[in-house]
Amino acid sequence: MTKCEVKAGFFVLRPCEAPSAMQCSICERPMCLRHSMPVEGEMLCTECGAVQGDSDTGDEEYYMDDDGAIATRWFYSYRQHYYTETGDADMLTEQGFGADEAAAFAGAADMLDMQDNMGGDDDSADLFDS
Amino acid sequence: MNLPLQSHPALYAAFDVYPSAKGAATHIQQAAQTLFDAAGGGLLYVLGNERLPRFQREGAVEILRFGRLLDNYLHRALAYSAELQAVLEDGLQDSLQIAQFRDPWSGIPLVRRATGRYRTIYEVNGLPSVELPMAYPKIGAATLGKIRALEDECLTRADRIVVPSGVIRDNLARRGVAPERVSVIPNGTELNHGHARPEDAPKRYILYFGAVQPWQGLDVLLRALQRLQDIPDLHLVICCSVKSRRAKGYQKLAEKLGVAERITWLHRLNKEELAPWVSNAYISVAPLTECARNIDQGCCPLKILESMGAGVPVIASDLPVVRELVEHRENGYLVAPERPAELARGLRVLLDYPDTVAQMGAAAQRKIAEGLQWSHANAALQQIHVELISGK
Repeated sequence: MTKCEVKAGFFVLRPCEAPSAMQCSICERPMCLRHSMPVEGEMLCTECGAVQGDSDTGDEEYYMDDDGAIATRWFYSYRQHYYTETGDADMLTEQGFGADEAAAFAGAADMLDMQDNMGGDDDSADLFDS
Repeated sequence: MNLPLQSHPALYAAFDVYPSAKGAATHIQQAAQTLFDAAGGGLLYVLGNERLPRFQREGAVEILRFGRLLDNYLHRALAYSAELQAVLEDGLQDSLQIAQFRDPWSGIPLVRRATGRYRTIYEVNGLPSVELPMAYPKIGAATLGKIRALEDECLTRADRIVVPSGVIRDNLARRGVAPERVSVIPNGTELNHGHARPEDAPKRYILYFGAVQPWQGLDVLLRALQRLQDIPDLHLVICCSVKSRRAKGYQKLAEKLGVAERITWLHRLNKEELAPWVSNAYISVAPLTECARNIDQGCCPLKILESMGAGVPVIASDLPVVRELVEHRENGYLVAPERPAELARGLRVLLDYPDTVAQMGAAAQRKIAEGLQWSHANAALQQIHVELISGK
C-alpha cells in the first residue's frame, strides 16, 4: 500500500507513512487524509497548501494536525516560514542583499524544482544545468 | 554541526542535487572523482533532498548534503554558502590542498578563505547572473549586479578557471578574465554501441531528450512537426527529464498544433532507461534558442554529445556553442535557430536520406571516440589538479 510522503512534525521532520488516500495535485506525492487540504478546488498536501500562501479559500479549517486534532493552515504555513526565513536575514545582509531583494527569488519555478527534489527521484530539471 | 567529518585534502562543492540523472550531476560525478583520485580522497558538498542522506562516507570520500527546505532560491543559496563556510572554519580549511567549485554560492566562502592555504578551481558551466533572470523575471538590475560581483570575485580570486566551451571562455574574456587563466575542457560522454529497441518504440522516430527550460526550444520542434504532417508514420519521442505537469504547457501546445497523436511522452527516465531510446532513434533534435544563455554565456549540451556517442546524428540550431561539436552535413545537421520552417525542412531532407543519416551517425560517434569521451575530459582536468597540488 502506498504511504503518505508528507513530512510530519515541526522541529524534527519525519515521514508520516500513514496509508495514502490520494495524490497532491501539485507535487503528485501520495498523501493521507490528515495531510491533505482543499485549495481552490484542488486537493493539495499540507506543504504545497502552505506554499500557496495566503490565498484564502475559506477551507483552511479543513484538515487535521499531526495529533489528529483539527488545526488550521497556520501550522504548516508557520513551519514553512520557519524553515524559509529563520536565521537567514543575517546572511542576506552579510552578502549585501536586502530582504526585499530576496522576494524576487520566490516563485513557482523555484518551488516546483524544490518539490521535484522532495519527490525523491532526483532527476528534476535544473534551471541552471549545463 | 556535530558531523564527524574527516580531514580532507580536496573539496568539490556544487549547488546542485547529487546524485541525480541530470547533466549537472553527471558532470559533478566525473569531475569530483577525478579531483579525489588526484588528491587521495576528499569531501563532496552538494545539495540534498529529503530522501538523500545528509552524510555519507565511502572510503576516503565523504559526501555532505545541504538539506534545508528553503523554497526561496536566494535564501537557499546563501544558507548553503554559510554552511560551507562553517565546515571550512570547523577545520577543513586546515587540511585542504585543493578545492573545486561550480558556482559563486560555493565559491565565495572558498576563495575568501584560501589565502595561500589551498588552491582553487572555478568550473564555470553557467552563470547565475545570466540564467536566473529567465527563471525569476522579477529580479532587479541592482540585485543582478550584486550576483555578478560575487561571480567576478570568484573569477578574480580562483587560481584556475575551467569552462566546457570556447563561447564561455570568450564571455569571460569580455568580463576581463585573462584567457591564459581559462582552460576549455568540453563535457564528455560514453560511447553507446547500441541497445535492444524498446518494445513500445515506434518504427522510426525522431528524439528530443532533456529538460524543458525555455532556452531548449522544444516549442520550435513542435511547430516544425506540424509542418511534417504529410509524412506518414512519423513519430516524435520526447524523453522529458521532468514530471508531466512541468511539460503541460508543451503538451497543450502539441494538442493545439494538432500533433499530439504523433508524440510519445516519457518522463523522468533514468540513464539505463534512456540509453535504448537514444541509440534507436533515427535522429536526435537539439533546437536551442538564440538567447543570452546560449549565445552570450555559452554551454556544452550533453544531449548533443550523448546522441553522437550513440551514433545518432543531431539536427541542431546553428549556434556557436553547437558548431564547437557538430559539423554541418559531416556529423550532424545545422539549421537556423527558432525557425520551425527551417527545422522542418532539415528534418524532411534527413528523413528522405537514411543512408546519409547513417553516415553522419558513424562520423558523430568517431568524433566522440577521438576526443569527447569523459576519459578525455578527465585527463585534461587531472593535469590541472596535479599542477595545482604539486605547486602548493
